[in-house]
Amino acid sequence: MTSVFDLAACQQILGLSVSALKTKLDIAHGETHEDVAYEGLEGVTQYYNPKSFPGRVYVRDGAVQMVYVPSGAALAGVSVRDLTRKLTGKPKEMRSRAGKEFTHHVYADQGVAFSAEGDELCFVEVFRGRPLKAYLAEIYQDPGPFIR
Amino acid sequence: MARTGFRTRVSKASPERRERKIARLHDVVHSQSERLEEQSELAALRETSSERPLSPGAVLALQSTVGNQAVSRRLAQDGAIQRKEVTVGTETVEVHSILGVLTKKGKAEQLEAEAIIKALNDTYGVDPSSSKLVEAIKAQYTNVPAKVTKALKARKWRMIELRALADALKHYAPILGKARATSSRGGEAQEVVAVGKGAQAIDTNKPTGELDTTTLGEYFKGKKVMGLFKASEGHHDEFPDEKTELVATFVHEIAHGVLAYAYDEFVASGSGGFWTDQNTKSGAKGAEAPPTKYGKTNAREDMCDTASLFFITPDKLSGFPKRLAFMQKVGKDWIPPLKEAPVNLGGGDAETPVTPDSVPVPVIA
Repeated sequence: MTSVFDLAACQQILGLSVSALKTKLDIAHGETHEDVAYEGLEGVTQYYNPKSFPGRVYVRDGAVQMVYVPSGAALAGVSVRDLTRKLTGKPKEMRSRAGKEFTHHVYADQGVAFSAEGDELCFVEVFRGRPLKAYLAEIYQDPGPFIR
Repeated sequence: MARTGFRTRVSKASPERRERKIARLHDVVHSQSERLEEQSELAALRETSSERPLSPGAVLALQSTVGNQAVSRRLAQDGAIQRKEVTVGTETVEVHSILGVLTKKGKAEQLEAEAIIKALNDTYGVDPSSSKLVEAIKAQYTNVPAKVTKALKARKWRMIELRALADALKHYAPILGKARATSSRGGEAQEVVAVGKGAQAIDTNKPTGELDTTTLGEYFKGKKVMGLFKASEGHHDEFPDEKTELVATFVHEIAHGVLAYAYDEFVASGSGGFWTDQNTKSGAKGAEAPPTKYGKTNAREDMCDTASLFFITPDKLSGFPKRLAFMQKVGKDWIPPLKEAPVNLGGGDAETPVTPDSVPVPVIA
């Protein structure tokens, strides 16, 4: 599997069973962290093997809840424009935990959110599409104003 | 007798000379105030309860009857004791004055401001320049409307801020200015080269961005400039008083520059497993939580707040062993082992060598 961010590959992971995910990630050679959280998602298990896939995958109740792709090599060659070309409509813009100069763009119904500064991606979240209200209640955590 | 004669001379003097005398009088009042008895103070308060402004002659008459502190109080009541803006280098600094005339205290403050500003340049390689701050904000917030960036303004420094800045920079002395060359950071350019005071920062780098009223301080990576903003005036939350809070704000902003190299190390080993990466919490139960509420924003804010606590109130890190150990290691790493340290062959000007054990020294500012 490529180590560069690929939205379709992330969306495909959302549909995998836990055993298929473990196989795909070759998780025997990766990391498993049980009973952790990803922002508002609590009680999830995190699977991570950067040699197989650049993102961290969070699972709960036998289903993938979140694919989180952090800043770094995987996103280095991908711009906001590249990503939004695959999305439709206008995002909801929220405060980003990455910092004051970043914006968190949410396409909740399409299951994609990302933080960026201008055209530069900071991190990407891929999840099962849901109403914005549900994304804000279940996943997003407002970092509050950056004061220093 | 002397007081009566003094009063007569003042009443005949030019307004300018009168103001100077009042300023001198205030200095005397200041030094003598401790000698006043409680009864005299109470009498003075009763005597000065009027809202009418006092003439300089009346001020002196009052001084001769009920005491020096009464005069001081009444001058303050009339708004005669003011802060005057003076120019030091490129910066505007507010110092003590009465009726627009610098007092002894004001002159001393001006000299102190000059000394601090010189030391910032000479010792730490940090140029006090509020115009550079404004330019740094403009360079970083490129997506906001021009009318917003045009409204950015420099702001006068207060003495409490300059003193806090000097105190904060001391904590990073081994890796700033000329000292940096002999530190482990010597191979990298200094990450903070200017500091300014601004009226307001900008809330977000978007077309909807506007001037904000909440930013206390901010580091602008592109221009290596840090700023302090009006919102910090009178503010304190993590620390017990404004001065300590200001030192902490500066220590925090400096850390965003000079300690940025250690962010990933902080995530990996200094944060007690609280962070997965610089932007994301691990969500692991039992991880060492950040010592401040603001530190939960992201790992960078956590590390910079940790640096503030480490240098200013290290006892507050006693319950955070991973963070404490990380900061101690960072400080020691600044000084290369003796066998690797550059040898000074310059002769008699060599300064006393700094040993790893001497840095960092968590000192109450």
